[in-house]
Amino acid sequence: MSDAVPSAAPGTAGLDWRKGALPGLRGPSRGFVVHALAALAALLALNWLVVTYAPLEIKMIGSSYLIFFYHLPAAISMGILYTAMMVFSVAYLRTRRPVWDRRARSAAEVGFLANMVLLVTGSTWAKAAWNVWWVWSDPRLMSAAVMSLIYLGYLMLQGAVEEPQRRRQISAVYGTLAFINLPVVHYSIQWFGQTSHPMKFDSMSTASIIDTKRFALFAFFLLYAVIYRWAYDRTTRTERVEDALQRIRRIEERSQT
Amino acid sequence: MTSPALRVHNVWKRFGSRDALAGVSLEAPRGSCFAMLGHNGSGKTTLLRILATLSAPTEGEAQVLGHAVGAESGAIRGKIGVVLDRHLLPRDFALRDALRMYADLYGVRDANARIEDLAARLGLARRLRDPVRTFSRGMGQRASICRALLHDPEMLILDEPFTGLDAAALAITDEVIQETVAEGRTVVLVTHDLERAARLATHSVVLSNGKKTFDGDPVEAAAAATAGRGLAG
Amino acid sequence: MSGTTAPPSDFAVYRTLVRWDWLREMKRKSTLISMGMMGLITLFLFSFAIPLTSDKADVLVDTRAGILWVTFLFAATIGIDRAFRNDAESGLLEGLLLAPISRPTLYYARVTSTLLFIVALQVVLLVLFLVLFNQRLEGEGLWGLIAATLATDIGFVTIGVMISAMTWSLPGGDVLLRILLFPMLLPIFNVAVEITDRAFEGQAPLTKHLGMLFAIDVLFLGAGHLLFEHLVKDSGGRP
Repeated sequence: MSDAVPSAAPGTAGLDWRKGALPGLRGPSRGFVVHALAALAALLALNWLVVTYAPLEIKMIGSSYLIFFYHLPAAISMGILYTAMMVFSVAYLRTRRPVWDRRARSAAEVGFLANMVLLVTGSTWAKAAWNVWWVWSDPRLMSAAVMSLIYLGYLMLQGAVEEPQRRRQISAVYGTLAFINLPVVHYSIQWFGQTSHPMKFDSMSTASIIDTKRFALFAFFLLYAVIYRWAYDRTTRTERVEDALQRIRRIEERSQT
Repeated sequence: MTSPALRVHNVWKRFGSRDALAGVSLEAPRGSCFAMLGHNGSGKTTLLRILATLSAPTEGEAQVLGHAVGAESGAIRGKIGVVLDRHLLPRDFALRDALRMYADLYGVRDANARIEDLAARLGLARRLRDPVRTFSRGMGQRASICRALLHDPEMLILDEPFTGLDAAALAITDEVIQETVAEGRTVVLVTHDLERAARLATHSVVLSNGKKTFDGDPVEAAAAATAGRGLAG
Repeated sequence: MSGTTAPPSDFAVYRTLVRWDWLREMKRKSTLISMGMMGLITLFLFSFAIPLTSDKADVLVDTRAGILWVTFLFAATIGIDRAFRNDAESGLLEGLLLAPISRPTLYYARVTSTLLFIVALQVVLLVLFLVLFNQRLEGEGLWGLIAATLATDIGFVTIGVMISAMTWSLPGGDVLLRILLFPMLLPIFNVAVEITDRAFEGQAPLTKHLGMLFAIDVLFLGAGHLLFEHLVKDSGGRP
């Protein structure tokens, strides 16, 4: 068996190597690069805003609150991505089209990333405010952690099922179950612990804070969208390459016998 | 009752990027003994599992006794009896109880009499008290046929029913197939035993690499399949 | 059409399935015995993990509800893991899937029989716990605990049977089941411990706690009803 990918193996006519059959194989598209650069620029601009423009009022309540410009977008993005993931999963169960599975998987990956950002920023703030990284009794920290475990389970499931059709089916059902569980996790934990989660942002509505908050949301939405796109392209690519390799292997087998 | 026993239209089944079935179409009339022939990996068992409602086609449509697989699977299940390579009976029960469980699930009237009746017909009457786990392959096969016939199905589907059987079990399997067809029911038979298929079947198809390569008389099918083997190997 | 069969109602099929699940388990009791052993071992492990001397009695008072539920959880998971695995290995599951049983009926039957096994287990483990750890449960506390345990078990099993249907065919599925299931159970677990804590103090559960368990049960049962079918649609695994 040769290592090189044959350029014109018989029977590979359906695979056009140049016309986007394998997105990203020949490097990222120009559109993707532009978006990625824009996201990076927005992130830099946000940092600059946070350091220079917003803190005037926030300094009065403590500069550790500045982290919420990163924390809040993570929370909202996570909610959007997990919701999207459930919608994609249901769409897969209804249509059985693999594209919905790839979308759901990418949304779960990026949602999990946002979830991690949420946890890390929350934990960092806890360290600054309470001098501990982790507070088991804080319901918000706990529910975010439980959510991350549930979605980590989804990501583990991806590697555990070999048969692709079965994997998609199981993942879609689990993805839907996971989402149904989110309000349960959120409210049940919320009801018990005494939350020390600050909500000062809502009451502070000075222009600079609102502006920075809006810009932070914009910058992070853009960033997560770019990462989602990257994840989706990568998943698509992997699946297509595997597909192509299997076809080539079959052609080889046939020519050997 | 005008619909054919089987109507399969352009059915595909993909496992990953492997096409186990690549656009198979076929029809089987009611009251026939329909044999699906082919080597291992030809897709015949995959097709059987779709017809038995255990699996769904990736693409295409399949109808069994006029009901669509998928949307009307429930209606199909009540009308077919399926014999797979395993007997599907709870191993720790005596045969009578194991069959009784299925009789209850299918809603068989007068279940005990029916079980006695079938057991006698299949030469199992003396083993009704024995736990199923003690059965040999041949006995398991008889028990499996017994289970499949409990609810008096309109169609009997058998997956490789002749493999690993002793002479007595072979004879009984043949007999059941012939009797079932004689009663005007349909038998769907998946096998690679060309000789037996030629003897029992009234219609046949040959599958190879997920595609139908022959459709017609079972005696000619044997010749076609042998030729196919020559081509492949 | 033919006179030999009279299609049974969904409820009759449900009863038949549960009855035969129970009879099957009674033949060997392998699931019940494994669950009971696991529970017993967990209780013993806890006796090492926390100080049980009389001068530190308050540690046990603070942790007893959690100990009981971790024990229940570990033991019950074995039963949940086997909800399909045993039948699938013996081929019986295919037989059931071939029978004219509606998929939700099969789901509800499996939920019920698994629930029966778990309740039987919990009765034994609770008595063992009370004896071994020298605790008592009386009056409102006892009734509250029974109600709450049943409500919690339904939540456990409804979601557990779903995850079990996902993982039985996978290599390493038994471990995966726990990894997928436990985080999803944390909320119910949380409520159950809270109620049990009150029960040991002799207090009835709060309406809001029971209400929450009930809401979760309904939510999970509905999800199972709608989604279970998708997990057995292409089952058997072997192409």
